[in-house]
Amino acid sequence: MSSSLEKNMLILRSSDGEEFIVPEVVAVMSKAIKNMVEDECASNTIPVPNVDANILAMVIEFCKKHDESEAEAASDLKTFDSEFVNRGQEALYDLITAANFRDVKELLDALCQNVAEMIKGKSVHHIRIQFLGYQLFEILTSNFIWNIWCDRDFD
Amino acid sequence: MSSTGETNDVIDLSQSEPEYDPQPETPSGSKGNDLKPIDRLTEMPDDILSCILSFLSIRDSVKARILSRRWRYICPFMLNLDFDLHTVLGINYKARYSNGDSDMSWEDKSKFVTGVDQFLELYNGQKLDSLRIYFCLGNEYAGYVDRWIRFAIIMKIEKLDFDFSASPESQSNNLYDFPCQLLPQGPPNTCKDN
Repeated sequence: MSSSLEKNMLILRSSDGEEFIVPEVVAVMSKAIKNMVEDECASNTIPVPNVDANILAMVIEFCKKHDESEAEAASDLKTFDSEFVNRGQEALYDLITAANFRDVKELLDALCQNVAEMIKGKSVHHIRIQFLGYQLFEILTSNFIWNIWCDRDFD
Repeated sequence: MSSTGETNDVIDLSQSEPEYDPQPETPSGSKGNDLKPIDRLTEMPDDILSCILSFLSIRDSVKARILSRRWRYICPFMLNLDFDLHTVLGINYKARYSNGDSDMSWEDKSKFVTGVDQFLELYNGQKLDSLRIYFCLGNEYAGYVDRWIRFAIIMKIEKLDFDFSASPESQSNNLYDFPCQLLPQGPPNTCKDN
């Protein structure tokens, strides 16, 4: 496979063994991969442990879009970002873990902002339901000082 | 500050509850220690949680931090701290004066100063550029304000912006005395102390 590989292309192998052929410029948006490439400790195939094929495909999609659209209007990219991160919580946390572990800053920022949007303007009660389902959870409102920040929200 | 001369407002101050009596909302028994939190968010590294909090207003970030012990000591990446009616009490500016109507209750004032105190006490983040506090407070809250100034000095905050103005009717006598002697290099650059 490596013989037929074009120059400036890298193969990323997900934790479950699937391989993705990705332009180097896209792959190095991950600082972790960039470091490996710069240190020349990367062979043609770069293993991406802890990230399965499903999530890796999403991360690559994000990086490709950001690589292509440098000239595009920033607002278009923003729209893409907000649609991209609009996923179920499981996928969201998998993506955050992957983006953090692989050090993809743009993706991490977009994801963190999305989680923040889920909290914004909500009552403590709703935040709890949103993130914890209906599970009971240790909540610190018994600490009276914190109550100051949230008691208006219990109505 | 323009004077519109509606003297009726003064009465409201005396009518409101002078005592602040915090009531614990959760019974002390329900700690929920036997139920493990299932959320994956809380398992994220500190940096991620900080990053998430930094996209939120002060008020929302505190609400998120109430979720668990794990979150409690996470500090958002922030360069500027803004405390006012909206960020602390969640009240939008509807009033004639930027710091709210003159009938801001004692209870709201207590909540405000205690909330700011609490936030600053738990602040363990990076160096801050500015601290801005806009709220109608008189000299009776000098103890709190002194503490905030001390915090600003310890944190080497460069820009301190306080506006304690209230409506003209309620600020007649008792203004906060800014302790200019605390500042080694003369009066501060940005300080509105009405």
